[in-house]
Amino acid sequence: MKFKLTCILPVAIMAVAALSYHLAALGKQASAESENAFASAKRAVEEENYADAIDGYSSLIESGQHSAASYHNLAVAHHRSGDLGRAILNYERAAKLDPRASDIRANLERARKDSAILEAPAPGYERMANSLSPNAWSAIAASGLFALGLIAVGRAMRLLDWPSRAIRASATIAVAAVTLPAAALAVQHRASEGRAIVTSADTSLRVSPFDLAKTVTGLKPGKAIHILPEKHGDFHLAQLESGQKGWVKASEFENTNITAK
Amino acid sequence: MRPLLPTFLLLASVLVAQAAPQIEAQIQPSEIGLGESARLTVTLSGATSKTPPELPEVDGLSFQAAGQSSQISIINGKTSSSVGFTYRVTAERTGEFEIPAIRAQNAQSKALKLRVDATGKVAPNPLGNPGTAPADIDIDTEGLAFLKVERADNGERDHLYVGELTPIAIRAFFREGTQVSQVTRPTLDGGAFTLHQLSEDPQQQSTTIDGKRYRVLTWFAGLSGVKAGDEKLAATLNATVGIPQAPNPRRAPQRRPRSPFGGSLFDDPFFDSAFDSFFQRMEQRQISLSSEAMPLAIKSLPTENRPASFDGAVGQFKLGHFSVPTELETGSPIELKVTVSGKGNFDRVTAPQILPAGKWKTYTAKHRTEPGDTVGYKASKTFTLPAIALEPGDHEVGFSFDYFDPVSGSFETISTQTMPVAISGASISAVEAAPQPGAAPAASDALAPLRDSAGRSPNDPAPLYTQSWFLALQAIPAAALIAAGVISIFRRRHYDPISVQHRATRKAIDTHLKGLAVARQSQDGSSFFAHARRALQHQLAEEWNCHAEAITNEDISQRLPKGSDVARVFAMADAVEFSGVRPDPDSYGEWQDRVETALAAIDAPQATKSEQKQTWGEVPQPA
Repeated sequence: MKFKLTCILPVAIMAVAALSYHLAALGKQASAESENAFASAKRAVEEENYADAIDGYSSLIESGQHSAASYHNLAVAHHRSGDLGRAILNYERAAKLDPRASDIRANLERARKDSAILEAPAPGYERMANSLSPNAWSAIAASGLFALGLIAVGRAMRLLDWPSRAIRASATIAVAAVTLPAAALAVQHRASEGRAIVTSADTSLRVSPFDLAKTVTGLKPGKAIHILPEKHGDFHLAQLESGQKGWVKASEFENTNITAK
Repeated sequence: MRPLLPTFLLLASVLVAQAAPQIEAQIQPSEIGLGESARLTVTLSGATSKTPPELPEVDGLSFQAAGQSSQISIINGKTSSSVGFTYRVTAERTGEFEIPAIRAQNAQSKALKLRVDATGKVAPNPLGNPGTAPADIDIDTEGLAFLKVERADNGERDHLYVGELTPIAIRAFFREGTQVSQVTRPTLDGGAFTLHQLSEDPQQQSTTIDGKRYRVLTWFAGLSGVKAGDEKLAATLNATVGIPQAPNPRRAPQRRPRSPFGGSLFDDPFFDSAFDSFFQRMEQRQISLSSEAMPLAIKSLPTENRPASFDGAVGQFKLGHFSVPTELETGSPIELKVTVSGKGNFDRVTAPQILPAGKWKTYTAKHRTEPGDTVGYKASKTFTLPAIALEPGDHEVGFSFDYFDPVSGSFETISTQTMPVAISGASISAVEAAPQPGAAPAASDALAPLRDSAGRSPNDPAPLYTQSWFLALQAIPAAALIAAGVISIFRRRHYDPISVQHRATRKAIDTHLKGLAVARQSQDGSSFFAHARRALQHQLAEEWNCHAEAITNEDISQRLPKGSDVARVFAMADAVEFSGVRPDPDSYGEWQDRVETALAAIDAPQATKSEQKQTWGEVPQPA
């Protein structure tokens, strides 16, 4: 009996899609020890002991607990302690991991409002690209590629006796499932590359990369800047949303990208 | 009653003016010397298009377009637009000319008169008179331009409250006759005030002050005080202004003559129109204009009687209607809409409180603001407020809103009418109704709640698409795609029916050629010609797309030229088979060559087949 993919193919594609999605969302579940540390830090926030809370959440993150919850709660601790720069930084990081969480978005908006920072609304395509996390988009693209490969093999090996119209439609959907996430990832990458948040209260955009250089403009904590590749000593060339360029000290900002320590 | 009459008339005229486009024509000056030019300005207000007006033909006058300007004004949300067309009018002879009514878009202007006398004695020049600046132009450079800040309330109050927004207009006045090439947007001196929504492009108008014409650039903005204290409000802007210079003495004969009505009228730079100025020598000057400092106190909001739910709204507001279901269940989320409208600092207007207080759990409201003017002073802000009823019972539901009224200097609380709502279900506490992680934060709490669990975290926080294992995994489907492509190409080649038939034909022909060689060796004439015929039949069958066995001698004679190699082989094969003819054993080699040549000719590439068909029959006959 000739083996046929006809019935198996949709099931296989759906299974891989689900697997990929879970793969994207999957990570290590926090250990009991981490959960205890998390709860302890949360208590510290509730007791308004923000320094301990910030230490607690920071330690958790440094130990590899890069969850949206850790970044969100760290941001709340900074927010309540009045450090709006680091609050916005960590809200943005949490939003990268869980872009659909409305509590993170609401708090981020609130922090920007509190620091009187106006962010120009992102264009529509960028908002659409940011509606899912990079991992979710990656998972969709991987599923699409898998489906495309399976359809192609099934077709080439004559294991698929679907009408050619159905095969063409499935292949088109699979191609879209690869190309659209790829485009979204490209947009996300472009928007987030070099994005940094000012964390220091007395930050200035300087004309030249020296401490005593003339100031172009002052930068409020929480202000988003775009770090350009040029570097001179401790200073990085940065660009504001308005297009203004200047030098910012490395200790005065932090990149929003999440990296393993 | 008497004071109302002018107001009524003004309103009526405005309404009429808005109904249809209006056209206004002006000619300045109305008397010129021969060789001079006058400026004709046609202004279309409320026009739907910018089509230039139809200029009448006037014998002895010529009109030359000198420019076009447009102006859009938005005042208190009402938009009005006007388009101005400027023409230079020159006369070919002296006399009194009447310019008939100018028409545009179903509107017409009044007729105009222009008197041309011979004073100038200069031949008409349609290109204008470069350098013919008025001889005695005397512009007081001190009074060339000035800046003024005007408050919408005309300074009725000598103070503002912190956070209060009041509309202002910043007007820059430039004497006509000057050329303004660059103007920066105005800024406020000091740090006590801030400007909100300062208009990008200024509104342009002309006005007369003390008998002098000025061009006025007006910016609109909202003004608010930042800190309490006795402050002075002043604005500054920088501009580059071209100032007409005294004419070159060598051009004295081309000076414009003084008016017969006295020098002062035409000495005014107003009569140096923009295009006249274009031909004059201009001295460019950078000037900085500062308005007169206006004392304006900024007061802190009183702390007495400040409502607990006051959130910084300063102005005069009112609440619109709202709707709510008449029956509800506790814990069921609903969305309520309510509108706050009026004038004030709408950026500080937050969602009104739902009544009865304490019976609801509310969440962050979404809002949409409909501006009523360009500076955001008058607006209407609609809130969509998610809420959950906590207590069952019959409640009178409404909204209340607290604000500070800067006119009365007191806090005000306004409420909507209440509506009866029957709420069923069990009483729930606010804590139970608190949002889960991921839900919107409660309005009463400034921030969304902390997450309770650390949750899952990725092994590597870097995005999947940057991780090598993920990229390597994608090699599997990518390899499958490539393999599928290769398989498809192979299958297409291998299972193609034409290829299959071709391979079978080649095989059969090879078998018969081998049989033919064996028969030649054994001098078996019958077998030799039988194999020769079969080989040719197979080759022809592929060519003619029919069965090999079906090809007979008759087909050959019909489809191939007479005397062809193929026909001769078929004829010889028939003769050997049916007539017992025994061919000369020495001729087997020639016959074999002939068969192979014929096979090659039939199997020749498609491109040369048509030529081959012609030559099949021309193979040299065996000796």
